Amino acid sequence: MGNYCFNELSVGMTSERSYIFTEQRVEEFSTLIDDKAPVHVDIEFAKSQGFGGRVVHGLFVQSVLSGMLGNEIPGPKSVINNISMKMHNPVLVGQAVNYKIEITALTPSVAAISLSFSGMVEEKIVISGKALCSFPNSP
Amino acid sequence: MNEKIMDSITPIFREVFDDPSLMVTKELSAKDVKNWDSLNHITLIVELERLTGLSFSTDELVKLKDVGDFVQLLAEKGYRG
Repeated sequence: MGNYCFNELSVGMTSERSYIFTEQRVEEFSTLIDDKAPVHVDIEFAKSQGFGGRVVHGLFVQSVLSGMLGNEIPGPKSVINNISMKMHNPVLVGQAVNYKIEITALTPSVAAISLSFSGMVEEKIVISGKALCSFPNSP
Repeated sequence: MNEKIMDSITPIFREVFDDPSLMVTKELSAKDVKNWDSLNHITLIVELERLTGLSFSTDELVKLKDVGDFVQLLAEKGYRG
């Protein structure tokens, strides 16, 4: 786990993680947020909609980034001010997403960190976006 | 010149505080805007630095009482809007 202070971070620092969306994890997420739409839980329905299998909830794919921001870069001393992202392709149950976060800018006057991130399934991008985090108790 | 700066920064205030009709005046300050909390304040400064290409120090920011002070600071740093 990263435990950085603001002044220990620099533009270009990265964090990477691979996360497998196993059947069990998707089932648990479905129950947790009470979203059992058939495209997520019914493989025949998902295939009838043109997908190769059950589709992982988009918000689940996004939520892994929260852990990366909070645990690695910028780390547990920071908070997320805002985050925006775009889903490019569906993630199917059983697939692994390789996430990467990179610091793109620092704003020392308010101890803020701008980051970009992406998620890939093999060579295909599935998610990308930007986040702004800050250190409430800088430095 | 300051009016040009005001026009330039107004869209940032409206976007950050999620209020398309926000009237940005020289007298405007955090107490006048419902969503002007500490997190949005940070977003505001980051977006304004991005817009203007300028950097501010913490000392400069803590002295600001309202938007008029900020516009004056921008002008002093050479921003023309």
